[in-house]
Amino acid sequence: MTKSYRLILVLTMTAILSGLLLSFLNLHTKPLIEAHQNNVLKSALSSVLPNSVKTEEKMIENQQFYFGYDKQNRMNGIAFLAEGNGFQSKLRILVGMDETLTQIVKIKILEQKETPGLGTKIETDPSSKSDSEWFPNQFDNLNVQQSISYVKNQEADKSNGEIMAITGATISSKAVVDIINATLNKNREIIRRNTDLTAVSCPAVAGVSENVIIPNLIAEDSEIIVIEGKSYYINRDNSGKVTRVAFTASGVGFQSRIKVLVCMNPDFSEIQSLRILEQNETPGCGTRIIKDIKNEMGQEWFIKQFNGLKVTQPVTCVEKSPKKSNGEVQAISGATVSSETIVDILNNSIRNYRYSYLKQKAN
Amino acid sequence: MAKKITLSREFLKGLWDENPVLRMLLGLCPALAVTNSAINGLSMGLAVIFTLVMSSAIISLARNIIPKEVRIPTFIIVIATFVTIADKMLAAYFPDISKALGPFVPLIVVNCIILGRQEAFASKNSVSRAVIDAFGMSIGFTITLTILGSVRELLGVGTIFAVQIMPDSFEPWMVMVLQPGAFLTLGLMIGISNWLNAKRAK
Amino acid sequence: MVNIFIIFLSAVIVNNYVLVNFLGICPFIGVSKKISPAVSMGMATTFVMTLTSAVSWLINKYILEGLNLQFLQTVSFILVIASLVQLVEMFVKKISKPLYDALGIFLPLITTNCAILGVALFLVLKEYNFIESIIFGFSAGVGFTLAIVIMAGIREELELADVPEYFKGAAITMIVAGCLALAFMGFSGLI
Repeated sequence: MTKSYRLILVLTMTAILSGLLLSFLNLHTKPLIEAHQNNVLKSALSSVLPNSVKTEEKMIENQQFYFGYDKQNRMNGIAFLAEGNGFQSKLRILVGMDETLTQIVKIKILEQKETPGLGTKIETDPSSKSDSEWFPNQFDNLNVQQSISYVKNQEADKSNGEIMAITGATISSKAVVDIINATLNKNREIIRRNTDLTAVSCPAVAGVSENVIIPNLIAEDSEIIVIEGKSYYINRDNSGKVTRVAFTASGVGFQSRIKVLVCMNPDFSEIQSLRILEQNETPGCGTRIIKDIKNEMGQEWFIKQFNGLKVTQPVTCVEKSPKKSNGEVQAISGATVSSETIVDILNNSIRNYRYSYLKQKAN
Repeated sequence: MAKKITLSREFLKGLWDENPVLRMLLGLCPALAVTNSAINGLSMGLAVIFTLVMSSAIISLARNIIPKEVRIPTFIIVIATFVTIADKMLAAYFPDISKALGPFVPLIVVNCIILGRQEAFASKNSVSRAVIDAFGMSIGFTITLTILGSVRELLGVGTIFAVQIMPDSFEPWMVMVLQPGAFLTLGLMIGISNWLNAKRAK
Repeated sequence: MVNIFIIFLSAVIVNNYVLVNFLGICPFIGVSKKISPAVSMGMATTFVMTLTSAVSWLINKYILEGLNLQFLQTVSFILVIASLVQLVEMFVKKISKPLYDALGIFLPLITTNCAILGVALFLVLKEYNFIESIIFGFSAGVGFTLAIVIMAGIREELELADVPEYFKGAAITMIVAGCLALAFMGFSGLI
């Protein structure tokens, strides 16, 4: 009896000590490992999007995209990860492309464990005296309006999307081509679906970049002016009188960044309409700021409350029976934080934008 | 117990007489799998030194507490713990090496050298002896792996530790860094060590 | 279905566990002197590998990933394998005497066969689903059996060959394995 008791005790103690030790170790090493992976990705990103000064990552339809922006904050490139099986290992490739997804800027093989000396040439080829990265470099500025194809033992026609396969590692070469083709087709669809916001009924994740969305939301001819570093989108009637001023603003909601487009009267007294451009709130709770399936007032009742709302005083959130003339809106029960965030974003941004705009107008 | 041998003999036996790879044929999987370059062989060896020394120390410390019936599971947990530590440390501080060694770091757990030394030595000897034995064995393992890696890298790519050794005109024997080269080189090394041993015995 | 066939072919031939991935070398050298024990060893390994891949997939998916404890992977897998082997041994002994006689003495040896832990680690790395994992474990075992039986066949013949004195035993076995690996390289490109 005492013996088996001792057996169990020793084993349990060993296991507990081991678990404790490893948890401490994990706490210590995990951030280091993650930081390293981030660094790898960052340097890869700057190499595949060389013309971008900053990048922003966004999850669209479960697909990770990295958008690159130039100095004027215009989107000038899109990068994404392409993954699939090579000849004997998994390949992970970072593909950098122009903003229209018609030309590859550069690719970078992030991970491969192909046959040493043969398949590994997809990453580096030490036997080539002139250019050890001749294979991945073939993809530089490759036209991909059609799918990429590969040729063997002949000159590749780059304008037709052709690259030369590696002799002795045709399968690895083919795998790289196939993986990029498949991912590119899928991602083109995703970007196409999400760029045109007006066509999206529930923009769970919206917007590729401001330059793409804004013209779709506001009339084509809206002009953009910048006052004190803030961008305004102005609409005028035929006589040249300003009829609407719009701007974007963002803040942190319950669990994600919420970005809104606010359209206002030129004197900043009343909101004409409000639109949520970006949010990733709790599905079924916070997401009701956009679409509330079960409400009898209509799915978009929350956002519609803001149409024609007087904002001479700050907007406030109430739990029931709001008075529109007092600048009151009703919060979504169960998503109070998300509702209040929107009200806060509005109050802050309207104050700021109104100040700069009216000051400019007075001058 | 057999008569006590000196500590220095205890250390040296692992380097040659009882060299784990060449004489005892233990730990062959990592010896073959990761030695396509000298640096990989050396890193695997260092990971094994760490794991073997640490677990030998712990197990010989606890040798009187561990009941005989559960000694193997206890050894395995201790070894697996240190292997995980080595694995995570490599991933955190030397990510490139960790990437090259891949799943062969966790596989040190089932490296027969380690369990073998616990069972045969650490669980029966004092801490100092166990640690010295562990150092000897694992350094012998490391040296063998580094030599194996160097030979394969030299013939297969023309470099050692990524330093060019062979003249440019040398056509690399690609097969040496591939799988068959591992078996062939190790087979030749075992043969040569047999021959040296026989010569010494004369 | 095609996918499953590819996993099978890849694990048995193209990425043969012993000759290409260098897993399970110890039993490959140790138990390959005669064909019949080699076959039994291969069968026992296949059996345990298939079971291990199923169990470790479940553990990884529902316990380790579920509780975010991936850092305990190595420790838990090896414990699972050790206890599984014990369990299988007791079970086989109870239900089938002939099977126990055939596999029995090899089962304890399997715990330290790195091919088994290798299967568990590889299937996590390759992100297989449950069915694929079982197929992968089974095929890896078949690949192991294939390699060890071929090796045993060659070594039986080798007994009669005039091998240089210092190369007898392990050294010549390694060199033969090198030739076998060279032959298996011919399969690369099949998939």
